[in-house]
Amino acid sequence: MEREAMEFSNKLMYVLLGLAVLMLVGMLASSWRVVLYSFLLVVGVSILFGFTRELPGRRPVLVAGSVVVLYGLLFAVLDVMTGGEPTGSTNYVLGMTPPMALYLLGFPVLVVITGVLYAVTFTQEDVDPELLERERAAIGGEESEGESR
Amino acid sequence: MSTTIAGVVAAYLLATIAIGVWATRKTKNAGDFFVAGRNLGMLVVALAVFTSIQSGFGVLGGTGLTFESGLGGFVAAIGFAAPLGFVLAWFLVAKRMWRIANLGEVYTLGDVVEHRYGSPGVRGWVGVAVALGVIGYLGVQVQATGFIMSAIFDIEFRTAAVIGLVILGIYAIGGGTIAAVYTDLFQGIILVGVSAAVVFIAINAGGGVQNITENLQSSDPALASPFGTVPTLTIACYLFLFGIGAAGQPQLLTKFLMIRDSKELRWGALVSAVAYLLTMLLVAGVGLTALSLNVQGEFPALDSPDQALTRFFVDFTPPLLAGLGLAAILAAIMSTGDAFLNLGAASLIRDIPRSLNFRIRNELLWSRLVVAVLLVVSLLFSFYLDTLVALLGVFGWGTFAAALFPAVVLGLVWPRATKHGAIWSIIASLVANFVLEIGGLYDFAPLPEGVVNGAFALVVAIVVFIAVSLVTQPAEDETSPEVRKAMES
Repeated sequence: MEREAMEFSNKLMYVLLGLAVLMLVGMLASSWRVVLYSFLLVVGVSILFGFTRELPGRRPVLVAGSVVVLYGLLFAVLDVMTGGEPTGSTNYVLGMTPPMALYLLGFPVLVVITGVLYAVTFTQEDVDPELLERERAAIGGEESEGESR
Repeated sequence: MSTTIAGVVAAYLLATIAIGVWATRKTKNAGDFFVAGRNLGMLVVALAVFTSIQSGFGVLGGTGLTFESGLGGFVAAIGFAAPLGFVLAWFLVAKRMWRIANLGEVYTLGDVVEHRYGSPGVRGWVGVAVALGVIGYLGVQVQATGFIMSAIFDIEFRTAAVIGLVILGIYAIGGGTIAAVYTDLFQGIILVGVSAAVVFIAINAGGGVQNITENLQSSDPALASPFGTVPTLTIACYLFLFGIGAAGQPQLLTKFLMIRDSKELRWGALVSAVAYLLTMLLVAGVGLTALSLNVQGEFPALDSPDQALTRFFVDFTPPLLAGLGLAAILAAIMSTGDAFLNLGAASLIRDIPRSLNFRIRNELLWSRLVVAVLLVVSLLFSFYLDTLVALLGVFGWGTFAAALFPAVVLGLVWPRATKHGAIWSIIASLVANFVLEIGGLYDFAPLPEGVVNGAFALVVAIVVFIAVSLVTQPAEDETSPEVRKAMES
């Protein structure tokens, strides 16, 4: 791993440690907002760990940042909507209360967006064909070895 | 139940046996038994990930919890966080696990951590954590199998559980992971198909979405809200435990060792997540409809909320679809059961003995024997040691998440992680889960109300892992260059 990327990955782990401690405090203080918003940042850190070769680069930050911001917006709007009462208002959206409609449709869509982001940023791995062949042979060869014992 | 329902379920069971026989012929060595010869494509792996995570608890229990507490009972937190967790697992470790699998004879999580840390001790602790979880999970799956089979075929619970386990044994003992993943594929298709079809029937039976919402509001306004009657702190904890903890589930992680080519990883996360989300339509649709009908007095009183889904299938869907629906429930239970049988065998035959510097010869033969023993032991436990099954049942998702996420997942993404950090985080997670879950059964509840024990254990394990790793840094890097290269992403 490049030195710069390695240092960045160390910093990410310190951020994760900080967020974990914050969540611990949130749980002990019964603050759901501290737990929830820390969790969303942990999601962002997890995505960044998927790009350590490219860190610190624009693409990883863009992918992780957009996922965290979209989830953050979803929960912030939900928080505002349900501030007064759990069902938000007396209106209906697609037959559901507005917060229910937002959550039921919004959360899965964001999961799908995150999955699509993984696919479109995916780069295929090149593995030494000789290494791969050796590994396959090892799996295939074990039987004859095992049976002869 | 009607002969049509019993006939459809019987046909499903015969099909799984046929797949098992085919897989047994293909299983020729330990590599086939544990990692399907490292020859699987995207669709098989993606659906195997989804079905091995989507258990009887997710389908039966999830609908029951929704019936009891609204959307927050299961779908809003666990049901939505788990598929997000699939995607995060792919981001975090999919390529890394696949690359480590190329280093040679890497069949189990124990093999992975021994490569990573060069420590048999970490392998042993991972093996212990997996073995504890496996026994708990299997006991619960046996009980669920007996419960469903006895209802379908109108036979006594124990007879039903034995028949279910014999069928599971036929394909799991002979076919190992090949049987597991291909029956998972078949079972996943049934689950997704039934889910997509039944949600429309459910909404129709409830008189439309708005009618369902109005009925729920008339009973309790909170039931028409996204989190139902569940405290928001609990929702936040579950989002964390299932969103992050998914990457620590061994039945998911080991699938990355089975992929034939890295290009197969690209769309797997999305396919798994979408398949799981589709089953959440079933859980949410039937759970809320049944609750709405119950408010109106049009849904029968139940001995347990877990009966909501089976009752709905029998009373509100045509017999053919009801049969497929019940087959789908059995599919969810059996696909989780077979994954854990293989994990248990890997742990007991490979990881724990090797951590003690003892190699078992002919792992294929012994793994098959251990799968048979695990089936019999879990059956006996569920018949005669109900309390023990309940106690071990707590070693489920939360234990795997807290024990394996730091040691395996964070260990693979962070070059400075140490074996001491891994071992102490596993110990901390097991102690935290044991004390909190078993203490809870005896009125010992030190955490604030609403905090989920597993989420607390996971966060403690993460802190312990990072902190201990930082204070136990070796004088020089002990990771081999090959492993270091595999850890890059």
